[in-house]
Amino acid sequence: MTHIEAREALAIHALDALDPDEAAALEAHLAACSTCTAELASLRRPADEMAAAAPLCVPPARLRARVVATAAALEGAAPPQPVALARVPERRGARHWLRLRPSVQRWQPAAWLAAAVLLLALSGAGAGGYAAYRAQQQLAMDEAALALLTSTETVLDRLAPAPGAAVGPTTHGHWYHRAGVPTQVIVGEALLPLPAGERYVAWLQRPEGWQQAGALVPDAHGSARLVVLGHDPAGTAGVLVTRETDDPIAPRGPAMLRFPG
Amino acid sequence: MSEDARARDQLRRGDGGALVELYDRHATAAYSLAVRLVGAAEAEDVVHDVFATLLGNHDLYDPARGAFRPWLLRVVHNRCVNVLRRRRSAGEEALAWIEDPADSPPDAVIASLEASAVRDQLQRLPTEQREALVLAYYGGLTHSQLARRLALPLGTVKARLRRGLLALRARLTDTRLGVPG
Repeated sequence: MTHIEAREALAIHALDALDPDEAAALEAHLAACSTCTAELASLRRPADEMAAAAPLCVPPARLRARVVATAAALEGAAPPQPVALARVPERRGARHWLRLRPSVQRWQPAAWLAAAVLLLALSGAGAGGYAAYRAQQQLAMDEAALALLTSTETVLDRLAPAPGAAVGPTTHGHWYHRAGVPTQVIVGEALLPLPAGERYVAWLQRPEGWQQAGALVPDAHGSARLVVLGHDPAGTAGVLVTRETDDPIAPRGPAMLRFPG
Repeated sequence: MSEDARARDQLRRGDGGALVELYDRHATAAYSLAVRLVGAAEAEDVVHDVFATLLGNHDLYDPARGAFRPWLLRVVHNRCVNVLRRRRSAGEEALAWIEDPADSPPDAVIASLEASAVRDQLQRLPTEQREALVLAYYGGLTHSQLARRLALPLGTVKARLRRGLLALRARLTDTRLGVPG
């Protein structure tokens, strides 16, 4: 991009309205041009004022709770001291090519602290064993999920209600993923309570067919989280959430949420 | 040292309390902008992810380049624009259940704005310039999307955006200096 072309593009860049390839070309020019950098800073001022002029909306309390939980989790995210583990039989079973963790909570600091305390206690007592293995495994999964959620490269796709699905007015979900990273997070929000014996099950559409990712278990607010480890999401074409009464190997119950829509 | 610079230094030390402090000071502005662009349902995720990213990438914000809030709102805007572009690239079917902010009439968007100076000065711009600015900034359209939507040559849209932002900058500067409009 020439200097003249860059000058023409600065205002559009200040509005975040350049096409991605042009924005990249302009950024390369800006790295070497202090004149354009200064002009961009000046053009950002009116854009900043447009940003600050958005109609006032008070954020819900649950958003602050999420940020507080994330802050606490990240603050305490230092890995615990290594624990001498007893030999643990590896868990195997049909369809367990994925390692699954159904989670009914957001990133609760209490869960992190509890896991860390458990590890330290087990380490001190020399107990080791399966509980320590699971606690360490859970910490590793939490760390992988947090790394995914805090990456600027993570893609967030919305799970929309399936046509005709009996869901609430605000029921939706999200699928967090990033190509090349074998961690995915599937989230359900405002999920309605299900009758006894039924559960929400998430599925990944892989080239070889639908694969069960695990159960989404709503908490009292209808929020549910599922961390899926073990597969690069680049091969996953979509996500489906169904209502199931048993443990099928392919979706059988009614579709509730899905991506793409 | 400014409060923003102090908070950034706390973040560098891994102080989650500083993140919450920054959230308490700036969340309403960030959330308001996100709601305007992507709607309430996705605004929560955008704002949460922006603050989480801040704690995980302490050097993203450099106080030497200006105040924290305008920088934060730029990050929020950029995230929202990416959400909108992904929605649009998913096609008409995926958009059917979400209101596209670029479908809001520009004058209605301007009338809804909180800050009177911005609202007044946008209203005084020539119609074609304020339409282009509002569709690009509050509608999250790229200049080429804008050209298709308005059925105008790309060069015309670029010129409208550029002239519109330059005029807005001049008018807002005059307003701050008390120059009669």
